Amino acid sequence: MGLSKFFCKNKWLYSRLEESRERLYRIAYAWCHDSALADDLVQESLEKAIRNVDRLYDHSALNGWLYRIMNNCWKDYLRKQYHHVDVADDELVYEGSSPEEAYELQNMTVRVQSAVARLPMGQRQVITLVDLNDASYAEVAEVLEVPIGTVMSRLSRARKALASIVLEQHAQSTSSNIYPLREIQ
Amino acid sequence: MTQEKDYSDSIINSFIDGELDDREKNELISDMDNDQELKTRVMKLRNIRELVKNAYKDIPVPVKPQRHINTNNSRGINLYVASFILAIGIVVGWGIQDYLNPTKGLIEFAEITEQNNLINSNEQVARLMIHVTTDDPIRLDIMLNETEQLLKKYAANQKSLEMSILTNARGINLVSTTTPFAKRLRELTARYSNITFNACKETLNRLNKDKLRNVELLPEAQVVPSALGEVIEKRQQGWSYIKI
Repeated sequence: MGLSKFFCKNKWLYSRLEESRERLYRIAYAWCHDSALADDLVQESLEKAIRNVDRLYDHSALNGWLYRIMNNCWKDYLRKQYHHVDVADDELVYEGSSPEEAYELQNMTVRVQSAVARLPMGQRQVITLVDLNDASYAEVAEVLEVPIGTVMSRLSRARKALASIVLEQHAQSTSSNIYPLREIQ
Repeated sequence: MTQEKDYSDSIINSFIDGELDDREKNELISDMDNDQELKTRVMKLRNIRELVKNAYKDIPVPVKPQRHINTNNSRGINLYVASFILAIGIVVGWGIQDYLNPTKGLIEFAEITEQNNLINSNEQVARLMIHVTTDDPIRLDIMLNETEQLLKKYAANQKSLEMSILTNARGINLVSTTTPFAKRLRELTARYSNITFNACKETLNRLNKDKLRNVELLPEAQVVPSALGEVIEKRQQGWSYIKI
């Protein structure tokens, strides 16, 4: 009975880890906007979580613990990329010329993702954890190891920047589509 | 007449994200009714929140899993294989008497110990030391259950048994005043005089010195100078040793 109890605990934890995969992936994707990299991050995070599962003393803190691990993986990745030229941001900036791209620009999802991708990393992490994961400010502060005040200021700057990029550009693009009727003589 | 308050974006965001307390929330809602500009700011930021949420809602998540956890490197064992290896490890651990996750194990182990003592010193007594280095409540619960069963069985059969529960590292938490097992320890020591709970002084000193925690021990716990020294001494005296 003792043995089965021991295994039940681990089985429960492992199934919780597997269940977290999808949620982690969305956050990872929102941080890096690269599906392969996001998958790698999630994979690495789960591997680390499994190796260190004994260090999780409070099982109710599983989610925060997982995000903290993923944040560390992400920081490691960025550190390794430090000497490389990151062209990802340039690629995400819309230069639109073709009709397809113009259509994409109209697509709010693409517009928002593109705008999020252009945010500084600290702001991007905060806004995605709060908005996608409904995390409290205290939880985000713990995951990112920053004070709550920093979480609040980053969130404010991120939402302000997004409002400026997304809503105002949208207003401009819709107004630029209004053409005056030509007077036919 | 309305009194317009200057709400920062941080306050508005806190409102949107449910971080304000009821009083602050109600105040802001009431101010919104009288301040169209404030209302617009709230709507705008709330709109952004919804847009971000929706932008990632339908992201195609790689089919579970593209690469199963742990298949990509030397640590590459999937969960089931890991569980299997863990099971093997436990069985082997049982064999080498270094790890015990007992059901009837402690009782059997104590009987073997008793036999050995009888052979070696004509003493029909089982002496058992359980070295606890974990504060995992599940493991501790199992250990205490088995310990109690063992004590009960030996008492019922009027056979001699001595038990020592030695704690160090995280195991110290078992005998600290914050332990969830305080009542059980109290009951065990009250009912059976042949069990002792010991705490390593080295661990206590380290925790107090590093100001990590000020550990207060239960009155049932005795302090021994060092866990390692205690293990060596007890082993030399013929005690059997199990580490969990």
